[in-house]
Order: sequence, then C-alpha cells, then structure tokens
Amino acid sequence: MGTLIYISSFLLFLIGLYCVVVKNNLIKIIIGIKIMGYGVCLFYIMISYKSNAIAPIVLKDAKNYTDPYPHAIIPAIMAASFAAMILMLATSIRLYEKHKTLDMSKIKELKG
Amino acid sequence: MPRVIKILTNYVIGPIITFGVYIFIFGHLLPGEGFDGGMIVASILILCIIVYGKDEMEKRISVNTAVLISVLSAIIFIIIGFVGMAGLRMEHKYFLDNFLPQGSFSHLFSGGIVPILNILVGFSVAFGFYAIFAYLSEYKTEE
Repeated sequence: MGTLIYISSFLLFLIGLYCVVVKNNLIKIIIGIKIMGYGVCLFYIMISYKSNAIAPIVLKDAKNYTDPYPHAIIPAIMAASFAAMILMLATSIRLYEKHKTLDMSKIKELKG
Repeated sequence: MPRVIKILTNYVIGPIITFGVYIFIFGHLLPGEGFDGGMIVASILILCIIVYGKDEMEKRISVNTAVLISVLSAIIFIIIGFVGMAGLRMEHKYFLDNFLPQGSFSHLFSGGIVPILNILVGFSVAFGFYAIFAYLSEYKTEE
C-alpha cells in the first residue's frame, strides 16, 4: 500500500503534465491542469488511509477513524481550483471569439 | 459542439445535479458542505453553457435571475444570523446563534440552523459561479 500511493498519484500528475506540455488545444490544456490537481488531491486523500478505520464521520460504535484533515481541506482545494478553471474557460471562449481557433500555435499575437 | 457531447451531456445532467444537492443537504454529516455542493451544481450549469451555447441557456436561466438568486440567498443568510442574535432560544446572543431544535445525533434533521445555512450557501455559490462565468465570457469593451 505504501508505495502504491506515491506511484499512482505521481502517475496521474505526470499524465496531466504531459497533456499540458504536449497538446496545443486550449481545452485539452485546461483538462491537463485539472488532472494535475486531482493527482495532488488523490495523494492527500490516500496518505490519510489507515487499515481497519472508517471515514471521519462520528458514529456510536466506531473506534478507529482516518485522519479528518485531508477530508476537510481537499474539497476546499477543489473548489478553489474550480474557480480558477472558470477563469481559464471564460478566457478561452473570448480567445476563440477573437481568433476563431483554439490552437495555441496559431494564436501568435498576444498584444491587445 | 459535436453531437456526441450533446447527447452525453443530456444523460449526465441529472446524476451530477443530484450529487451536488446531496453534498450540500448532507453538509453537516459528511465531508464537504455548501460551497462544494454548489460548486458541483455550478460545474454542470457551465457545461450547459459550453455545450448548448449562451443564447440557449439565456432562455432557461437568464444571468439576471442567477444574480438575483445568488444575492437573495446571501441576504437570507445574514437575516438568519440576525434572528440568532435576537436570542429566541437561549440566553446568550451571538451572530448566527442557533434558534432551532437540535434534533437527534447523526440524523438528517439535526444540527439546528446549519443545514439551512448549507443549502443557502449552495444556492449562492452555484448561481454565483454561473453568473461570473456568463459575464466573463460575454463582456465586451466599448470601442
């Protein structure tokens, strides 16, 4: 279990990084950024795993809980990254209206 | 948009909105609360703008309606806070003080005013994000 955490979340992060670096389409770049963010979130969630423990919801006959901190903080991180995604998507719509393309290699003029 | 995405969006709208509403109704029992549930609902609204176009969505939920719902739920939040300040149930008088019965432990109807506040925050965030996205993608400078 120990190494699987690092390998799987790092693999997800690398898939997102590949998408950001290699692809030219703006929408695909945004998807890549989101996948990178989900890789980090998955790392935090899986690092809080404990065997023979339940999710941090208070019940009467439960003794062992996982770490509640990632469960509290990860939704906040996802909400913040969602707000950033709104900004990116709106900007890409405006770019499409101006240049009639989403290909980054064809959008050369960044002035005005 | 390609036809595949339109048809897939039709199937995806219902489950995702249900999931978002579940998150913010069960906000006081499970991880995630009003902000996160509202974010999930807002994501499907934004997907609808991208897939069906701004004009089609303007007929269903206009931007002004979205701003109105968002602001109204924020105002109701503050009003509930001041009702708590009146001290109907207990002697101490704080902002956002609980004035509803607390219910039984770990059930849906428990927690006093917290579920109501979660639902209000959910509506505010969902329609607020929708309005921000619509404004940002539509705004034009005077030339």
